[in-house]
Amino acid sequence: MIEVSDLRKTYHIGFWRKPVQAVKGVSLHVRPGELYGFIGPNGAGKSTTIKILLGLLSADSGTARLMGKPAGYPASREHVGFLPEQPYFYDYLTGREFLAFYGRLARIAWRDLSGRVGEVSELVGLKPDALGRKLRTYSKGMLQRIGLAQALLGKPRLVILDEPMSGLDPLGRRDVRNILKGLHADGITVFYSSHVLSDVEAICTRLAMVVDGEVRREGTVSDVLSGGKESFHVVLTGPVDFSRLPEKLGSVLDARTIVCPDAEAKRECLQWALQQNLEIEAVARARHSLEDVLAQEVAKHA
Amino acid sequence: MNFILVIAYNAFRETVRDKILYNLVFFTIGLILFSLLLGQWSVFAEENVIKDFALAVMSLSGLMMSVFVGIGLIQKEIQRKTILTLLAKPLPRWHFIVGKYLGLLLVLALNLGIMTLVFFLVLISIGVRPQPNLLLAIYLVYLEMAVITAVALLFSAFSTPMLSALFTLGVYVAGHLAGDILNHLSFIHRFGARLPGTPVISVWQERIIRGVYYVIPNLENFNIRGRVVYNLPLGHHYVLNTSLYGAAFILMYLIIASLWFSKRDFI
Repeated sequence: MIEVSDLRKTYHIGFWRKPVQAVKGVSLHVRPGELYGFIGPNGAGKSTTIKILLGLLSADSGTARLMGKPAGYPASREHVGFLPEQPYFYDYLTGREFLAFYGRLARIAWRDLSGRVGEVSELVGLKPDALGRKLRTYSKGMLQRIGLAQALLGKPRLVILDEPMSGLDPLGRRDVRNILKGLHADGITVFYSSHVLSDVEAICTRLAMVVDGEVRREGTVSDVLSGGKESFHVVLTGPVDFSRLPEKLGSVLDARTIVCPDAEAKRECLQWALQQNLEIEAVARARHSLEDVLAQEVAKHA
Repeated sequence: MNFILVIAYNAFRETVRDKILYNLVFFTIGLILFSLLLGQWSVFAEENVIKDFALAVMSLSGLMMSVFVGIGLIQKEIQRKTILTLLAKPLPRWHFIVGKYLGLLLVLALNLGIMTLVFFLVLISIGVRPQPNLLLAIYLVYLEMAVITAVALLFSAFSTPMLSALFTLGVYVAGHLAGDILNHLSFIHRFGARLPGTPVISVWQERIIRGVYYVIPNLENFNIRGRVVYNLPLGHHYVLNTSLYGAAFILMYLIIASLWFSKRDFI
């Protein structure tokens, strides 16, 4: 569905055309039917990558293919729905006119248009009376919903969403999350960027973490969280003097806990604790959040 | 074709819902009505003064519409980022340019139609039957505006709104002077050596002047207002030839705008 290989893009900004490298070799592969998260801090290159995929920007080098066709060709966007970050729409149109306009661009026949507009409006939670109002009267959340509706109008096989949760209240976020899950259940491939990492962690089948213009981790949520290997927490009873703890066994998390980087280190750590006559209270797999991993990657690369 | 018509219809709808356009139309209608007073005050034939003034006002109003609305149509899409969702649809970018252009032509036609109606009512109110030749003059005003709109679209495809407006107005002024400059050039050629004080023009300067002449349309070709008002003869096939001349420039500008636009990045 999406194949990106060693994509690079440099912007030239200001009067002196100062070069700023936004994407420094992004590679990723989204398979059909996946719900794929694209995460990273602001300015990491997520939106640039998405815009290259949709032909809105040209890459300096590397390849990007959408639906098996080179990105930039209109045919590659034939079955693709897109919602940009902070979407602005034609505020002089009513919701219904707006969706009809995009419906025509998505090649929906006149006779089917009204029915399809009703379907997607219902799907994204827009009430019929809202469709009769001009978009300038819409709240940010409603604009986000109608933006999502226009992306889904043409029954796309691939949906690309740039920060679809931004501007939404918690209930709106939950609704969008459910819509994404529904699309995934219907076999539609979803590729979306987000800062709401808990949502990505909860619903994505795979994800890519991009930091400073490069994909630093890619895979399932557990792959990304473990970074390909598991770490462990060894919890001891009572405050412990860790000054004699060999460095290779792990790092100290708090007054009672050691973080071992792998299973071998965990085994040696337990032996060390027994040698020191320390009482072991618990041993558990370390549970990181995407936020922790992202923070680590940012600290390492940004 | 379908995409072009959808974009054209939306551009038309956007423009007719814009307050600036209404202000411009009402202002122009006011000026056309003012020609009634001007006709009475003038020492010349009332009918001719009204015709002359009203046609000039229509031309000026068309220019304002072409420049300011023409530039806004693309620039607004870029600044408000509505263009991102539009170009992410499977439409080639030149469809967007041509669609916008056709939408604006439709708006210009509608406005010139309203102004023509008011103009003819003014003529009828003073007992003058509007002659069909006036429609030819108005048609060429429309064609001139169609050329200027293509210029505005071309500049707005790669420049800022302010610069686009300046460049387009520049082409308008240069276009009306283009014929004079070329005439001046041939005058220098014929009499330069014999008349003292005539500037000397190098071969390169002449090439540049001639090059600019062929890139910028000679807009005086579209001005037959004087000839129509004073019933002077028009050349055989003049309107047809001028139409082809205008169409060639429109085509050239739209092709350049589309090529440029197709390479442009949208951040």
